[in-house]
Amino acid sequence: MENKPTALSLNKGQSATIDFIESNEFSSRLLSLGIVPGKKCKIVGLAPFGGAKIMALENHLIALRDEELSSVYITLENRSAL
Amino acid sequence: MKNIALVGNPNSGKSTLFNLLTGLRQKVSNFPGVTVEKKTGTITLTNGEKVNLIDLPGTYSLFPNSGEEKIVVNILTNPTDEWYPDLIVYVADVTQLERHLLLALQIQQLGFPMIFVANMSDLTGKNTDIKPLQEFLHIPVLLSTATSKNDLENIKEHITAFFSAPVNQKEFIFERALPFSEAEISTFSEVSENSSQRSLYQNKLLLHHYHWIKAGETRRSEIESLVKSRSFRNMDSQVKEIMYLYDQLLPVVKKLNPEYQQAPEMSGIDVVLTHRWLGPIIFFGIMLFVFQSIYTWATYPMDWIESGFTVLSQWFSGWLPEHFMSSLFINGILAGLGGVLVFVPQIAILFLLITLLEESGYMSRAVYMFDHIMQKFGMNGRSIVSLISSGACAIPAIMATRTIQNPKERLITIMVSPLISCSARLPVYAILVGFVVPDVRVWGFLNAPGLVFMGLYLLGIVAALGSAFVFSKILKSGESSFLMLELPSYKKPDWNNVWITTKDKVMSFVREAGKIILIISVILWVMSTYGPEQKMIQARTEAINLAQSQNLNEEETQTLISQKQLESSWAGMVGKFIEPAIEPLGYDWKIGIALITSFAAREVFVGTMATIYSIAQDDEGTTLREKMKNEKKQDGIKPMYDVATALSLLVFYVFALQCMSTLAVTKKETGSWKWPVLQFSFMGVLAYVGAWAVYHIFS
Ligand SMILES: Nc1nc2c(ncn2[C@@H]2O[C@H](COP(=O)(O)OP(=O)(O)OP(=O)(O)O)[C@@H](O)[C@H]2O)c(=O)[nH]1
Ligand SMILES: [Mg+2]
Repeated sequence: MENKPTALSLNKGQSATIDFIESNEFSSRLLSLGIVPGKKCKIVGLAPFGGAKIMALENHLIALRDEELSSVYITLENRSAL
Repeated sequence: MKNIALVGNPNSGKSTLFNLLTGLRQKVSNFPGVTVEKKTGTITLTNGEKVNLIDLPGTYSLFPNSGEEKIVVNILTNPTDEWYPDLIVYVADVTQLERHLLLALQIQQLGFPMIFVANMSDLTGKNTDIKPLQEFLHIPVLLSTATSKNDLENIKEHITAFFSAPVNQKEFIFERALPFSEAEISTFSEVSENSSQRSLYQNKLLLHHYHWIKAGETRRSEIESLVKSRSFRNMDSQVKEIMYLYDQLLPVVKKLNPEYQQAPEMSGIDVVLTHRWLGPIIFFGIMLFVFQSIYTWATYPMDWIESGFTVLSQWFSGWLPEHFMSSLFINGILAGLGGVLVFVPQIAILFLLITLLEESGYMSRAVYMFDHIMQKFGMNGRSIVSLISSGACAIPAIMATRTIQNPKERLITIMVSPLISCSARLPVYAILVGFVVPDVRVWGFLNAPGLVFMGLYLLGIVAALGSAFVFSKILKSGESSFLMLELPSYKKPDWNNVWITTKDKVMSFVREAGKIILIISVILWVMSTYGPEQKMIQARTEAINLAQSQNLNEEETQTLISQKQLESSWAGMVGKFIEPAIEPLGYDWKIGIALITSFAAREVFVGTMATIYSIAQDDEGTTLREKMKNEKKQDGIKPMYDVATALSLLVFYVFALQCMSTLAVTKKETGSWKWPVLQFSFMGVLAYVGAWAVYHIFS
């Protein structure tokens, strides 16, 4: 689990599939915002002064701080499948 | 009367629907103990029956992260609450059903009768097939567009149907049992005797939220020990529940909207508006426009209000007999009233523009862009809107902090906003700056007084950020800070919403802050009009004798009398009393009087100085500056207003909270006198120390 990538490691424009959400004080909020295991996500924007990113989901956008992104574990999109 | 609650996710259109259903028959107040807006009203059903309606804060789930969301959970789990609903009208955004169904399913667990309103139907086309949804939820489902009147009757009819036919009320309730394990059932049923599915889920919520939930208040320690002994895993259980509910609802959402799974993308507008450097530039452009609007548009109505009150008070003083009651009415109450109403244009314009930004969906982009930088100063992305608005006036800026959910971040924003130089400081700066630098050009194109002005504004900004940083280290935070913010799609603002919000803000300022401002201005009036009787009579005779010996005309005599009487009034006495305290700053007792009276509002400084230097009311500007120039220090040689004293006064006015209206609003918004007193004190200390330092450096 240690080296499993989180959404924090995604660069702008990179897509991934959400694997699971770490169990912490943010988890129920992340889930209820539609950040649900199995969903596709993509980082589409970086905050001007850093510290946060915009994650696009199937039909909505969520702004997340870096620490919040690091609770979202992902599987990087398989490049050969593109 | 029966209660109906509007419940749903943020941005689903609850308030829009509320405004549509109640029209102007609504009341805005606060939930007890917190400054979260509570909008309530009554509606008349199609059969003539009246029912209560409440607009609850937007919630993502029954596992809240913010104080606003906790309110919803507290009301829905506490049958003794005044607003415990008999019926829930659940409002969902039909384009975002996946997330918006989640809370609906949780609420069904609590066993409430419910009508499901699939709102924003204009965005999908009216022909959305709601049948699968109806079959899934087993309750009435209707499509609506809250921004138009067309669906109003349909919604009312469904509500009427619920209340008028008790036999059919079961149709509005569906109990979708969560598959609890044996162990869970045994734990949950130990929280209370009753073990129906409905109370099992209620008990589950008590276990999750025992440390704050109202319904468990009396049994807190029992529930806590139950949580411990049964090792109830709060977070895991939340995740498990949400995941289960998603598993239930996702297939239905897919059936409703087959083409809905798109590749995750951001719209072109957002690419520009949240761009790394275009984004902030556009934001500051918009803020510059907001700021300019408050500044320029508000000046006209403010002038009308001011001259209106001047005319009124002249009319009254001609008409009322000379009596202290007349004077109290004209110079105390009427002046105080004018002092309250004069802020209305600024507040109205600021809220009009802010509501437009909120309604359109832009504000959440700004919050995201500035979140990190404001975080460093213990504030929130939204704080930047307040800080910028403070450049016009701190009052609407403080009122605008309501949208900051984290209490600590909101408090810090309130505390430091008045440090940003507002428009009322300008007249004071204008009169004093001439004593600091001559009107010359620097490097050929910059104007020296202009540079000093800029320095004063910068000083305010630095002080605001610095104090915010200090507060962020001192203040304790009750709630954790997070962003996790939805960026809703852009929408055309609904004018009915904009108008109602603006009106509410203005009314709440006039009603609540108005009282305090009125009282303080009466006190200030008493202090500057009255004094020890002997002394006041003496001052009057002295002035008249002096006037006769100098052959002054009627008006000049009156001015002289006002001067002498102000000197011997209570305010004058306080001015003299504090002279030793303000002497290290380079001030004399005359300035002391002006410091006290300008507490009513900073611009009063100019008027008081005019009275002190015995200048007739109408030619304040240049004559006052001349008089001040000729004024000497106690030794009779050095000018009173040298660079050091003038700079020291300027610095004092940058920092000091010389504004009772700001204090009144801080009191109103924080709900206690503790914060305005602290605000007044820390800014006072800053002002004193700053002025002292400047005076000593430059003299
Ligand atoms: N197109 C469209 N827009 C709507 C409709 N209903 C509401 N809106 C818009 O959606 C936005 C959010 O509406 P609100 O009524 O403020 O939502 P709310 O549920 O009260 O949101 P919170 O108070 O944050 O929980 C506003 O810009 C409304 O003008 C609708 O039926 N159609
Ligand atoms: Mg609302």
